[in-house]
Amino acid sequence: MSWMAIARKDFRDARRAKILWGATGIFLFFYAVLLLTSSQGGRSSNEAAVDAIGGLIFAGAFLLPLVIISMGYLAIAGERESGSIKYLLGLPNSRREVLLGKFVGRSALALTAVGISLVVGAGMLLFQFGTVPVEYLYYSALTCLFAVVFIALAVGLSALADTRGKAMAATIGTYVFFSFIWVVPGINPNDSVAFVVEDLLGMNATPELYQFVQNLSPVFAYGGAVDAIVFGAPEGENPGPNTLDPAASDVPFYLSDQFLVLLLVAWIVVPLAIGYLRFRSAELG
Amino acid sequence: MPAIETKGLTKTFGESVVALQDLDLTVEHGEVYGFLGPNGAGKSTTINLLLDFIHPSDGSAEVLGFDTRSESLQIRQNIGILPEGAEPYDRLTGREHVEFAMESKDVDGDVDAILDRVGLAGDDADRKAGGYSKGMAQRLGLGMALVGDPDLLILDEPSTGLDPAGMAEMRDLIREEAADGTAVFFSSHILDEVEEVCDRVAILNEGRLVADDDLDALREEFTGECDITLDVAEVPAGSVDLGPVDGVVETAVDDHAITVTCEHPRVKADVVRHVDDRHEVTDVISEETSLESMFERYTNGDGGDEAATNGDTAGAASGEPADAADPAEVAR
Repeated sequence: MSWMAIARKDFRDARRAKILWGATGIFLFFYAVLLLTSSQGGRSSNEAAVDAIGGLIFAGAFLLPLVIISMGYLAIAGERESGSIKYLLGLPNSRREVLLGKFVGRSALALTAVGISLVVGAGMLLFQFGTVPVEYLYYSALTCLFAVVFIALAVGLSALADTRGKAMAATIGTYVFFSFIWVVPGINPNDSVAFVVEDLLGMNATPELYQFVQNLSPVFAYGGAVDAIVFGAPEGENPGPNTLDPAASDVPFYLSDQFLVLLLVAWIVVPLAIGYLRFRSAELG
Repeated sequence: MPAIETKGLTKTFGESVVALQDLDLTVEHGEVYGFLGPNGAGKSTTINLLLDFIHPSDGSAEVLGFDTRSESLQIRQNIGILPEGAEPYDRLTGREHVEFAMESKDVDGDVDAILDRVGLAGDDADRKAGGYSKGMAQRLGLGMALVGDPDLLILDEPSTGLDPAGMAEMRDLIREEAADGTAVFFSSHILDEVEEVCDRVAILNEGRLVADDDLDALREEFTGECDITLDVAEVPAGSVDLGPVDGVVETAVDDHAITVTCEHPRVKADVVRHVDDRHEVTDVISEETSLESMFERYTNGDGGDEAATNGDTAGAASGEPADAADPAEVAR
């Protein structure tokens, strides 16, 4: 059970850094800007509040990962660079326990920042609209999950790197790939798959496949899941690209909301597993 | 079951860099073992291999009877390690470091007693380690190593960053642990330190073991020239003729002192007898061969050849570098 000791130590160590309060401050700033400036505009207070939550999706999906990465990317690589990992592994801690303890410790750190922000955000909703809709609860749960996804990504990639610089390049690179490259016309996965399927293979366009590929990015999986929860089933006209109707009988399982959550969970497991497999046999010179 | 036993332990980095070659080493229980060599000789590589931080290219090693590859956790449960040049966690206090070591080892213990032993009691214990000096960080590392009363201490350059008083305390601590039956394996490039506390010494150079023996035996076999100074009551008229004494290299007379350079420590007694018969000797100052001269001979190619001509058994150390690589022959 030494992963618990490692998690506790790591949380304590990281908590004393300014990063926790920096991250909380950034989140709160954006919540304040997005929630306290939205107006009711003649709708029911509940509708307006739900709309305001919808307005958080973009900031959450693109901003939150950056902040979370900064909390996790040094988890292993930083200790390798400073040499303190020799204390950690000179004691009877297995490398699996080190990785697990780091993941748990940094997750606790991220969830502290996100949790404080979400609670204050609820207060802002209450202040602005006089109500906190139930959708905010789902939004909060998904946002916490999303934060843990990027902790897993950062810790997993950190385990592959032996220096601060490599860890930063790997985590930021991965983030940029799955957020910005993902939407660049011509090279994004949608267009790439379309090119292969339609132009090379000469098959018909398969929107479900494109949507599925789009959802493979954790950023878009999160965005899609929040979108679906906040806005519910598309109402006929102009459904957003991620807005899926779980009730519609022709939506395959791999495009359902539940599957988006499953994808996010996979984004926790896979980076940690990859990180572990490399870290397990890494040479710590 | 020895505390440490390596068999043909070899580590190469990449295709061509041989960091450690065919190391056969045995450290017995309760022994203070000095692992000596210049920087880059392979000392840290050896320690990293023992702790499974890196993996051998060939050969194997056991610590306390456990295999370093498959039973590393059992090893680390029963030893204490002071890694080289590792920085403590800046934002944790000294006390928290020791507590973490206890939690990791799953042992109870008196945190204050340990901090006190390494000289970090009182306010220092509750300060964050980021504000520690290098010496304090080193002591903290030693404190963490002492957690759980280990059977073996592995100390990598333990005196790094310590002032002379700190080094003396470190030596006392090593002696105390050894008196308790704890084996101590420590690396150093500082000769005095090894000389003062070790029962046994290994000398590593360029990844090869070039000597491994009791300190006294090493001195006995491999001391080359050494000096003896005799104070006499009257200035000897003219020169002092030590020609009849075998093994005298050089004689110098300076006021009331006759300094004689001998080929071997054994010659010293003959010198004293010879001089005492002819002059009134008031004092005898005999300098022990320092490990330094020994060390230089082993690790410096030219010096090695020169030294080898002095003793009969040392012949194996001369000539081809390949000869020097066979430690067993060199040392016995």
